[in-house]
Amino acid sequence: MRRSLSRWLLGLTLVLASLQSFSYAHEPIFGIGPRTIWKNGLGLEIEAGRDQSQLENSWALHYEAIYGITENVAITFEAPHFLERNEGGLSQSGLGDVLLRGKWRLYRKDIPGGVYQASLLGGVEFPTGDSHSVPRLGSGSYDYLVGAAAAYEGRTWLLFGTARYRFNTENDEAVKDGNVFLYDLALGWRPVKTDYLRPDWVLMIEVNGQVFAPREIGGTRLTITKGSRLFGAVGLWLTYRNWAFKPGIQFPIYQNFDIGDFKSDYSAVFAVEVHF
Amino acid sequence: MLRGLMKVVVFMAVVSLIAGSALAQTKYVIGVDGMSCPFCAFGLEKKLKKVENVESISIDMGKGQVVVLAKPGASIKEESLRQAVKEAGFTVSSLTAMEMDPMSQKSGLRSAGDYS
Repeated sequence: MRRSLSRWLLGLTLVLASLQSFSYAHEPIFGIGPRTIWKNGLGLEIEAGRDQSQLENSWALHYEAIYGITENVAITFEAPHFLERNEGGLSQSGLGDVLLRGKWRLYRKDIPGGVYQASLLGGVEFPTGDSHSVPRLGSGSYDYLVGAAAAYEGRTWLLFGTARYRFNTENDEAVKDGNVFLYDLALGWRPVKTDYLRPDWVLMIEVNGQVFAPREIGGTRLTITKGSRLFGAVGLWLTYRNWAFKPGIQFPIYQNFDIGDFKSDYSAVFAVEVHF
Repeated sequence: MLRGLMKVVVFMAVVSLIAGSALAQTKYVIGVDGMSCPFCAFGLEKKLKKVENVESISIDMGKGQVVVLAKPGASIKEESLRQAVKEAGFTVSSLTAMEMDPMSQKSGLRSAGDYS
């Protein structure tokens, strides 16, 4: 039981694996935005991610596919594959928890050279990752995500705001990861108003916040597992026609956890996306 | 003799008419709101290229304008263009059709309409 308890005290990075990294092309790199894809459009993305905290770290590839049911409704399938996940001197690799997410753009106001838009989000994360391994690769439970995103995107300036809430449920070992509230604010700047069929650069600066409710084991709340943290992030969008490349790095500004292991050192991602 | 000459004249007139119409091209200038980035505008290219009788398109981000060229001698349903822009996730602010002069390649206004 002691071994099991210590195992479940770790793994906060894992809880965030599906929330932190995936984003559609013109969205904050560590957050999410309201944009959807055109009707019957298909986007494929592969993203290499590195998470490093004080006692755990991982290298992972994230695969994502987005499909436009209409121009304002899109579904996204996301699958993380841990190349290496290290925790407390142990290492694992394999599939993590896959996520199916929907986005409904309920507001869109197009103006010359810009757009105001807002979307609602909802998703389910399936327990496809091994939750019995050490370190674990999945939560072992069905978890749910709801949220909202709004943005202004112009030719020079872009502004994004997001709020998301993740409801975690109990797994077969009576462990329930704490629910998580995430919020993001991102500012984008396009130094050159590029035309179509020209490489387009946008510099992104982001603030990403996370608030964790305590983890529960056998109905007992482990209050030491609650906490919050705030990240700063910088990144780039480099796009050309239907190709997008997105590198970004995220670093902690403020962290409030009783357990030092939860404190993050940094996260880094590099994503390649193509639309068909 | 006169009957034969008449046949030749009619034949030449028909050939001239067919040749003229085959060379004529119609250009559609679409004002599009919401175009903020080239990557997102790719959806416009995808959708508009699927519209029947479209030969080529060009996108001008600065002007917020898409120019669609119809195949020679063919026309494009303006409703189809509007639908394609909508499904790409943008808004048509204006749509103008111009017939290109087949000889000089200059365009003349055939019809204009504000569909905003």
